[in-house]
Amino acid sequence: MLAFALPLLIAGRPRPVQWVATQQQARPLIALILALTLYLLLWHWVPFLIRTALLAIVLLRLASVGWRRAIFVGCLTTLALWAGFFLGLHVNFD
Amino acid sequence: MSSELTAALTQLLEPRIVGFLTAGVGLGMLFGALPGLTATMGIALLVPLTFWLPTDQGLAMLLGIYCGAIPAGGIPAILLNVPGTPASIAATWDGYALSQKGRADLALKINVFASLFGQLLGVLFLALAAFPIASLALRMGPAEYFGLGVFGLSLMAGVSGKRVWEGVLAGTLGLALATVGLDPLTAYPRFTFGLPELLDGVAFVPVMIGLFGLGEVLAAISAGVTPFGATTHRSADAPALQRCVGPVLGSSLLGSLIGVFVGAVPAAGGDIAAIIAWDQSRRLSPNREEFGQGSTRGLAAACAAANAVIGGAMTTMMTLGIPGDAPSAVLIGALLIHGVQPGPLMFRDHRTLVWTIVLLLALAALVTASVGLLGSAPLARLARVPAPYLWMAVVLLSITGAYALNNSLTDVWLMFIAGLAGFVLRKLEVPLGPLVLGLILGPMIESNLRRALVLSRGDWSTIFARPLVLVFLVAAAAALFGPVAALRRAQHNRPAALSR
Repeated sequence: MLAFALPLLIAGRPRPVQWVATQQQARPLIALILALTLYLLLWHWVPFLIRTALLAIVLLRLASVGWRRAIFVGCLTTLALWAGFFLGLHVNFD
Repeated sequence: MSSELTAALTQLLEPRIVGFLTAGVGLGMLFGALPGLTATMGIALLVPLTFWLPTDQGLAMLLGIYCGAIPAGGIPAILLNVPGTPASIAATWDGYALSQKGRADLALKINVFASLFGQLLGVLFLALAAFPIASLALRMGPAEYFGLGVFGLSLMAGVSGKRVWEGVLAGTLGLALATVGLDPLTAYPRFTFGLPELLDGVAFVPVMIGLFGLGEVLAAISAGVTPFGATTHRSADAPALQRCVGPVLGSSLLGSLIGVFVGAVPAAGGDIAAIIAWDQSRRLSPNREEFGQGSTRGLAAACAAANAVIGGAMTTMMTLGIPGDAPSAVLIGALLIHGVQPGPLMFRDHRTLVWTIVLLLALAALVTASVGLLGSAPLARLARVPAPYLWMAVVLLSITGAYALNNSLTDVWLMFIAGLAGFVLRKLEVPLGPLVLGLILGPMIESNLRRALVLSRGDWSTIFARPLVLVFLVAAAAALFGPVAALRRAQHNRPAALSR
């Protein structure tokens, strides 16, 4: 039912769906979705600290944050999350 | 009742509870003051963290977030003309105008006092009305609960604004998702595709994190939203609070009453309440022309209503198990995680917890007001944190939060899929509220209808002959078809208006 409903909803709209504001926004959006898919596929193969730091850096780079700042903030955030969840709550992400 | 109240009061004096409540208020104010982050998102992201805490401490943190986020949303609304949460949209209309006139301090103080007024009035309503409503609900049987569930679900049309059919579609999607898992009566697996992880049904919290966390980030990136730092922050002149105490109090009372009522209506949130309260306050004001130009009455009504919604929504959620607004929908998930089923039985089996929640809400309101008076200016500066850092933090917290709940990668995939669905639905302008309603009310409607049919030996007529069921079903029909009829009338009148 939903498979039929969604195309009908898109086709029946008075104006076309604007998925992205400009073409410039399409690149980071698609890249983010692909990065997240890759992150989940690599869950059992790459350790949490490495894959999460990489994801954070990719996310910041997609938003045009400079390399140095992206690496610093990405690694710091990952470490903070790891400390909070693994050391604080004993959640094992690997 | 007094012994339970005393027990709750004693619990509340524990330093750990006060500590978690204060931490929750601080986090909530952070989420509220940062445009793009909402109270719902904050609660959804923090629910997995509270899994490791005792129920009262976990609830203290979550209720702190709820009570802290809504008033804090008014700070960027007043200073930057950017609503921190959807509930503070109406606060921008007069708040920012006051700020532009150099009366930012006055506007911030009105925000704090009107929010406190609204939250305390909402808590008072919860304390006075919840037990009678729950005792009435305890007398209801499965047939009445089925009728109540259908009535709650029918409101999906009303809360969908002009997009009635899209709202109905979203509600149907929620109902469809609610059928996944073991059959409530026969325990036969349905739509699980052989996956044992789906036997318990679609996990509610990861879906909420995906819809309101990741989905919001994807939508913001696609829209190229950069809402930060567009305006100036003017500090205030001499506070004129004393002069406007009377009008502000009157508008706060009006806004609070509207807020409590709108909050008690399932799925109608603070944004709707604040807009209605602002409009009603304008209609009743002798100085209508001031509204939108920096009216203290308009700001007070909007802020009070947005905050009074909390008490109304919590009343509906706790007494009937139906979410009053989006944050209370996520709170249902949090209570279920802690082994508490919201609904009338909560008032029989967990009376001390009910009073603990009431007192926690009151204390959270007072803590929020104290922090608000001291910390509005630093929070306003925080509102200028660049969007990419916020987005990254939300994405990482969505992943870790969804996983930490059950240590399950399936939950993370579920969150990801829900995030993508949330993005697509936002782009199609499909409201998400009805989806949440369908997901929560689906099991309630199904299990109670089937129980009622078992009790009546399959006879439908005895179910519909019960007076309260009929009342609920007639109200449901009115709630569902009223907006549809209004929409058709509007479409019918439009060509005539255009030709004129």
